[in-house]
Amino acid sequence: MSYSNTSFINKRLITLFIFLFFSIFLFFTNKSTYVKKVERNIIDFISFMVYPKTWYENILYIKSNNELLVQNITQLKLLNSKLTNYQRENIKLREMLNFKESYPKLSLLPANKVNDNFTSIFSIIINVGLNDDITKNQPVIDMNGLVGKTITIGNNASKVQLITDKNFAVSVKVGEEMALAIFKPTFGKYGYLEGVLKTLELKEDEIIYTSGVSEIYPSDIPVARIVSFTKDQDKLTQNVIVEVIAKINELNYVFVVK
Amino acid sequence: MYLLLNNYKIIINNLLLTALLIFFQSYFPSITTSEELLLIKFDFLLIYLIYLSFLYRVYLIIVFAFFIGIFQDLLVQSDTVGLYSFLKVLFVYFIGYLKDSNKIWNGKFKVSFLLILIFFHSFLYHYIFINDINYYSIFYILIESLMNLILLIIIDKVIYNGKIF
Repeated sequence: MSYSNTSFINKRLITLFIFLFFSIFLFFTNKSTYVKKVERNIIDFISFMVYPKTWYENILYIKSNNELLVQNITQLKLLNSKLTNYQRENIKLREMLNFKESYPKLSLLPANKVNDNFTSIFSIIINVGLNDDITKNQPVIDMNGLVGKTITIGNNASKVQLITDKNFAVSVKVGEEMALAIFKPTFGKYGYLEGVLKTLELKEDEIIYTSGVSEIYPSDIPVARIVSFTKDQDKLTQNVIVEVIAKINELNYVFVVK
Repeated sequence: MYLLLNNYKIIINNLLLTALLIFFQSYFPSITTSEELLLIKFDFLLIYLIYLSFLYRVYLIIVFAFFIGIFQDLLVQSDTVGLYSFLKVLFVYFIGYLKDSNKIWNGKFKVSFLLILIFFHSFLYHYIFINDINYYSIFYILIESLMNLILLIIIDKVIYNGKIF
């Protein structure tokens, strides 16, 4: 295409746009129903053309809003679980308070388990010590029964030998006759009773309590539940298998008996 | 001096012819259809603009088409001043393509191109006034476009000795 032709085409285009602009301007200065109809149609057309853009923007908005909502949900879930934990803790503390009041003769000092300690023996560490007037060989219980005794005392913490420790033993009374026996742990939450005579009548699920004979443990603290008992002909005593009542694996709050 | 006088003569002749055509266009009878507000009529000014586009520079005819359109708007429908001028300006611009490619395109293609142009010109004009576009209205607009095209072909053959086709 020659230069002169290009020049004409440009002139054409410029003239076209100028006079189209004037025509459109004149047309839309009218306020007749026909012009309004055209305006409506143009608006509809523009709306139709920009619909994908609007749709995409909406999607993006929904996406960002969704992310925000997910964040909010996560925060609320965390808050909810925190509140649920507070509720559980509150219930537990109330139970402990009731438990403490149910033993008016014993002076119970609440303590919190700080950590497990598996260095030498089965033991735990609690957050009370010399500053709380804790001494060695004080019994430790939970709401279910005997947990152990204090063996090492620090200023602010103490080590507790658990009832499940192999070296642990406690004098208990068993049966309706309140016969004395020795509880010794075997494996896990199980243990056995030493020195239960064959003549003694036992029942399964019967609770055995501390006898009070020992200088360490006061009487009537629940220790274990009878699981099974057998009698051998060549023995004078019964084989009594018991299960520790205290929830050793779920310890959180305990009491030190003073 | 002669050339200048000749230019004036051309302008005056065309203006007189335009005035005559506007007058003729205003009083020429139109065919009523079953569609309300849709009247089939010859558009002499449109045919005249086609020829002017072929005879003179297109950008000048675009300006001319704008003013003819304004006149036609004022005469036909004063509620939509600017509509005919818009359509005629656009129409003349596309006629410029026909003018540029007149020697390249064959007759059938030119007829098709013109028919499409005239049809869209008429369709856009009637679209503003008709409440509902249906098959009948499209048919009538097509008839109108064909009438104008036939008139254009006749004028081209009789008066202009086949300048377009």
